[in-house]
Amino acid sequence: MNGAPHAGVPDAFEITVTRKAHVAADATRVVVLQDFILSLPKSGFVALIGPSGCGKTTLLRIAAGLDQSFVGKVRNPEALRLGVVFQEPRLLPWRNVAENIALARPAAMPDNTADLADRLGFTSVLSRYPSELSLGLARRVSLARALAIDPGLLLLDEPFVSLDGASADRLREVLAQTVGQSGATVLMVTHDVVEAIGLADTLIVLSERPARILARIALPAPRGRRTIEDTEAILAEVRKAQATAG
Amino acid sequence: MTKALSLAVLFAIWEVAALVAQSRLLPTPGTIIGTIGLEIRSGEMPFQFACTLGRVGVAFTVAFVLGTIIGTAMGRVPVVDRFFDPWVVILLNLPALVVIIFAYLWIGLDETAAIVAVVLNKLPNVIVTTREGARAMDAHLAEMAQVFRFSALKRLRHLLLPQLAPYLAIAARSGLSTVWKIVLVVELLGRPNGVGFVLGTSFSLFDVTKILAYALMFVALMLGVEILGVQPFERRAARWRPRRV
Repeated sequence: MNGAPHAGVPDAFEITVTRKAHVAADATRVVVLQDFILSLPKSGFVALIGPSGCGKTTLLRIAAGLDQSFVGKVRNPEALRLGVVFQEPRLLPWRNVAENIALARPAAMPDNTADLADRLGFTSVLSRYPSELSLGLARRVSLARALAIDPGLLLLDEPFVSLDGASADRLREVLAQTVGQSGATVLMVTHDVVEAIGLADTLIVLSERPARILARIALPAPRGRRTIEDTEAILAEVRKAQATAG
Repeated sequence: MTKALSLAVLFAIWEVAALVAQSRLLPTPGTIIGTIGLEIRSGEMPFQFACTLGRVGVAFTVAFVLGTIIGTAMGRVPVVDRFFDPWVVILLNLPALVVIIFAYLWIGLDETAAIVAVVLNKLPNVIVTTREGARAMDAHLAEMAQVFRFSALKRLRHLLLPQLAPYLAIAARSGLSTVWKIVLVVELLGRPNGVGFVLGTSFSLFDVTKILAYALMFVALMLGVEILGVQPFERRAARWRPRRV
């Protein structure tokens, strides 16, 4: 599918959107996605990159089951448990940090809050309320909440935007480690190509709206250990794909 | 401190006015406190207040629970809102007295009629306030709860009620004062006991001292409920909010 280079690995998740349109403020219909198929290989880490407003977030919302008003279907044959990191942290303001994480976790799962807080560096604020946190800390908690449920499918919408370089790097490292160990399938939306190259093993370059797949680039293994030369080469490939579309 | 001083000045003015007027229609504060003591010792006042408080408690609880459920449904589901909105508007604008009269006429001069009359008077306010709260709910958090598969109980406890809490506090506060006042009218018109009944009989006997004694106790009790009941609830519901500096 889409010339996917993952022959042999079964697809864990597939989104088919025949048509998805928004009604804009001036009552005209804007087609966001048309004849779009995205398949995620099991335990793969796919990064979607594309211009803002091209329909990335819409695609993620459809994958999360939050947007039902489209023509098409979402296939989740193994009923993977869903974890989502939204663009905004979306913590319950009236529950403290520890409660926010505990509430998302099904009752049967072991309590791993302390471990995650330690690895992500927010142990000192576990009993604070979200209004007392900086945006950076709130993002860590939001990531911890999604990882705490040991998700089979992790959806990330620009999870590290507006973080300083050092904390973003730390969070990326924890994310890569955790999904590497658990074998979760990941779909991440970002506009930071270098970040995508650092984390993912498949890069999907999208066009302007309505989004089409311009290129599906398989990155050399292992993920997270790319040299500067590798990164440069992949960047060039991304630019080329975007240029041919324009 | 200022409030205490303000109350003291009020009583001083009253005392002076009563001494100047020397009339049965304006007894001094001292006389009234004496009457309150007498009424409490005879057991008359505790009994009448217990009757009234019982009615307030039942009517308030019923109106509050029903109003919260209906108000939330109207705030969340547009069809329900459109259907019930005219009913709420009619109830809101129906004079309390009319509701009370019809309750007594149709149901009879009994306790059920009294409670129904008070509930119908209070219900629309609770509905309107809760509806505002239900409308103002955060869609982002609702999506979060959906993605993380919150159970219905979790949604109620951790998503719905915390967002409704400030509105419920408003409804409770304005609700309690409305219910008080309406219960007195209901008792005046058709009950053989309660503070409203005592006020009615004292009025026909021109017993101003007794009227003032019961009215003052009433206000004191209301203040107690406000300070011990409503305010702690509000503080608890707002403890997660960032402190204003």
